[in-house]
Amino acid sequence: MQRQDATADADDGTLMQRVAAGDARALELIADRHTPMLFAVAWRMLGDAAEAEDVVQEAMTKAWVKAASWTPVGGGLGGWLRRIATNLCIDRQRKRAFVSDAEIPERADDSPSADVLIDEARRQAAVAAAMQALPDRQRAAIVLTYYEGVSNAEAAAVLGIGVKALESLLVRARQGLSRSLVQMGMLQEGSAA
Amino acid sequence: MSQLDQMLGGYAPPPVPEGLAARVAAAAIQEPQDRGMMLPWRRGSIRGGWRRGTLIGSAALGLAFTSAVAAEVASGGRIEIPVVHQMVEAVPILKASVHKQKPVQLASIEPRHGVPPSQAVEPSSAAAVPEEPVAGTPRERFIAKFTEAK
Repeated sequence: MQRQDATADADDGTLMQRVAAGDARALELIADRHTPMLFAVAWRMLGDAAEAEDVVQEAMTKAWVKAASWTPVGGGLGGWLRRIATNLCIDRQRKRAFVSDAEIPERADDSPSADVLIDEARRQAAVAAAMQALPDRQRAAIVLTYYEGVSNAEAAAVLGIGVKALESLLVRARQGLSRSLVQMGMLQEGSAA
Repeated sequence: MSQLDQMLGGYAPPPVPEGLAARVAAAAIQEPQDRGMMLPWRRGSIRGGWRRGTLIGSAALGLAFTSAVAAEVASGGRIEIPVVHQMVEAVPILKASVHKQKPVQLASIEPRHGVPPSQAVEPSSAAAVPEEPVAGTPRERFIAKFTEAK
């Protein structure tokens, strides 16, 4: 029991060493620690809970399979898993777009009334629709920097681009979100900045 | 904080499904683990512990030997590279190609003006073939080609 507690307190690097040695308990602890973050990233990227679960599953499987080659650099294990999840989400989005390019995000309402505008659920649905309407990389940039609080340099590394390119992506993402939300009547024009 | 930021703040994910972490961990451990694909190339985790030296040395030796054999075969055995020559001699296919002499065709010598016919060399059969008369001007050549194509 004492040994188990000690493992629970262990840092990610130690746990990954144990995982590399085939310790299933260490992987469970890593999953406990990082699943909420991975689920949030995947859900915000994909807008679908079931798909987000699949992404978490794939990311954890990769952590188990590739544990021997993992090295604690950059954002640590969390950063590595976040990178895996983000890339898996982008891959899924691309496949989704390839299967059907007719998928247009739902708009909350074309002519919303004042009552509807203040409805929290509808507001969240509008933001979700606006997020899903963004191109993959712009959405990833927003999710990583805005929601995950990742630094621009780290987010740029996750997406395999330079910091300047990431900043450009963020500007375009914000413009896209504002435009969509203005069109939905959820945001007043000129109030986004 | 802008209005957009306020709206983005409301975009919260649903709660993590019950038991998701345990499920994903249980499913993941069913997969076989990679045992480090890079290990054969490393002497250890120390810096500079690559085993590339062996690979580069083997490649250089192989390339040198191949070049030597190629030189020996291409020169027809005139260049005798000590060890390689014996090995080439030992391989029947290579040996045949080494000793195969190509028939040499001597160039014909046209008789010069003022040289007695007895000293003139017989023209070869290739030289004896009369050449077709070629039209002089480009216009004539074009007409000839056009007629031929017709």
